[in-house]
Amino acid sequence: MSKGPGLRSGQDLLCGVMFAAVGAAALWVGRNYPMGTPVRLGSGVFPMLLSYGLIGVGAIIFFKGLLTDGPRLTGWAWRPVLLITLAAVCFALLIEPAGLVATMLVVMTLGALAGDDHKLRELAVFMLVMIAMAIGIFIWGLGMPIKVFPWN
Amino acid sequence: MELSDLGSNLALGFSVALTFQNLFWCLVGAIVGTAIGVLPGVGPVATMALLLPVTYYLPAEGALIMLAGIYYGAQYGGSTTAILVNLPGESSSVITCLDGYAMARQGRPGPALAIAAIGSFFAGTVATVLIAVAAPPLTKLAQQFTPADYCSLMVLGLVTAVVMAHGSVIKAVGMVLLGLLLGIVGTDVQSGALRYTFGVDILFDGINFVPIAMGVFGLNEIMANLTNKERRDLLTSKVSGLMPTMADLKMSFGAMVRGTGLGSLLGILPGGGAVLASFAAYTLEKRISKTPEKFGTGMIQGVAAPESANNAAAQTSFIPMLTLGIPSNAVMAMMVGGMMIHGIIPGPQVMTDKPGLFWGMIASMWVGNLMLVVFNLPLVGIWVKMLTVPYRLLSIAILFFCCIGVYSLNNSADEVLLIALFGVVGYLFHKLDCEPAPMLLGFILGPMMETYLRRAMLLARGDSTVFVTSPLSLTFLVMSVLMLLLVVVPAVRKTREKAFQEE
Repeated sequence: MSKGPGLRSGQDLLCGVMFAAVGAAALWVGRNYPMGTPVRLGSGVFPMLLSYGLIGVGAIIFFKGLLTDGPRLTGWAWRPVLLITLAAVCFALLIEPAGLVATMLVVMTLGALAGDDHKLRELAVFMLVMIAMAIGIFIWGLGMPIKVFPWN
Repeated sequence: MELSDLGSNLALGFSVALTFQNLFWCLVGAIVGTAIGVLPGVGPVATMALLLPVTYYLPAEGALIMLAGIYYGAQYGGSTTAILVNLPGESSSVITCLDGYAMARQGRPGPALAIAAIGSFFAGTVATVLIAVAAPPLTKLAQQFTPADYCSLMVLGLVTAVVMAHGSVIKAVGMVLLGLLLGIVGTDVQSGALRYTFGVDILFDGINFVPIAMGVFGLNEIMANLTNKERRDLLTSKVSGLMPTMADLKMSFGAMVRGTGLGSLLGILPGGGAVLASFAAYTLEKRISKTPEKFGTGMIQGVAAPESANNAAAQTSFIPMLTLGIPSNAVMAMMVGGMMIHGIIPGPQVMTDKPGLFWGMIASMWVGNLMLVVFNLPLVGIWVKMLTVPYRLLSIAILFFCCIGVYSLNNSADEVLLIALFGVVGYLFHKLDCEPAPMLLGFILGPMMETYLRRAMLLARGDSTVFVTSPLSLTFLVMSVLMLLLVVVPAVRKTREKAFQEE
């Protein structure tokens, strides 16, 4: 992100765009929500006020980013972001069909890949303890209606 | 209220709370609460929801005493994770992270933990007495609030969230608006219209608080921490010297008193509760401090004030629920659920129809707080051991607990997808330097604020000047404007000074 004239803070610019875009999208999606009357406000009034608020705030932040110096954008750490997100998605998809143990193995493996410096033996012991603990707390203790193994 | 009434009410309360059975349930609640408060990603709402079916088998007093214990127990536990891991176990401990974690980073986690516990106990004691003294008259005061007053009160709450936010004020305003917008997703209570649901059926009932909170705090924290070596290493910081020094105690005492007072007051008001109280108390300390710039770098007042305030508010927030039947937050909604299971309709009649239950619960809170201090200070060692697990392993545990915690709420796999989404969104906020806490507050207050706005307009026959003609409402709005000016003006000055220097 070069710091030329007219582009002082990439972070503020993107932030402003984000707020304004959410506001504009909310305004567009809610364009047909009824406004009602001043006495009986419809379901569209509050969303409309918030949408305009967001667009205004977004614009202020955007122009602040144009006119004043501020922090620049830094790169994303894609590895943990993608792997942690993937792990949560896998949990959602697997917990009902595959049961607790298989789900935990997948989720925890992805979680481990997101970090580094893992010692294999430590990780294996940790996973076993976690699985035992989870079965103890969530299946036996709280009686959650989830399968332990896929074939249960 | 007559003094003899106070005495007999409390005596009745303690006679209920001190039975062997109720002592037992109180202890169970307090310890379960602390444990889940310590465990990042497992909150009291989820735990209470899980235990609601269990309470069916308990007597009404025992059930409610245990559920209440989980709530204030979690306040103790939540501060432990906030201080040691910079991960608020509870949203009310978010603000404790700032100075508590800074103290831990300086090698003083022990005093921070001790002050949090002592402050919580002090607040718990005062709040118990306060409830007993003030419940009846305060109820009358709250009943006089008009919808316009409520609406302005919530504006004040949100402005507080903006003021306390680290960094950019305008970004915090944006986050509050975003939170309000997220809060109204779902079915409009008044008209039954669906808003922003995009035909996705899990959104029809609105977005749950827990997936949002766990996404932007739990998952996002892992993502951010795993890329940030500096923060990761700090977990191994050794806890030594638990007891605070006399100087620590002296410095914190004023903060505890102010935090307790502010917390007790804010806890009573619907929409407030422990989260708002901890933010407000921190802001107050920062404002009156002679060295406000040192906040965030390990000021012990920055731990004492919010921790006292959140515990005081956690307790006084039972007042609107018990007396008016209005749950002021998700936890109180769970309490309402617990009462309904036992056929008790929350409302003004509880105090008169079931005085044993009403005062027993209040007395049990003091008993539970005493238990927490007695057991927790020595047990901090165990919590600490639980948390000295290296972050590469802890992150995996947090990841799993976030997923299963959200799943356990409604046995809904779709809500786990929501935390995945909010995890990424939270990371985007992190990258854009936008604090998520104001958004969460907006999210909680959004639906309530809209309801009161509509009611106020209806009562005023469409005349929007009602917000400035009602004296209470006007007071709240003026306070909001003053608070905003307080932060904006120095910021403006600083920016200008900076601009001048560059020229």
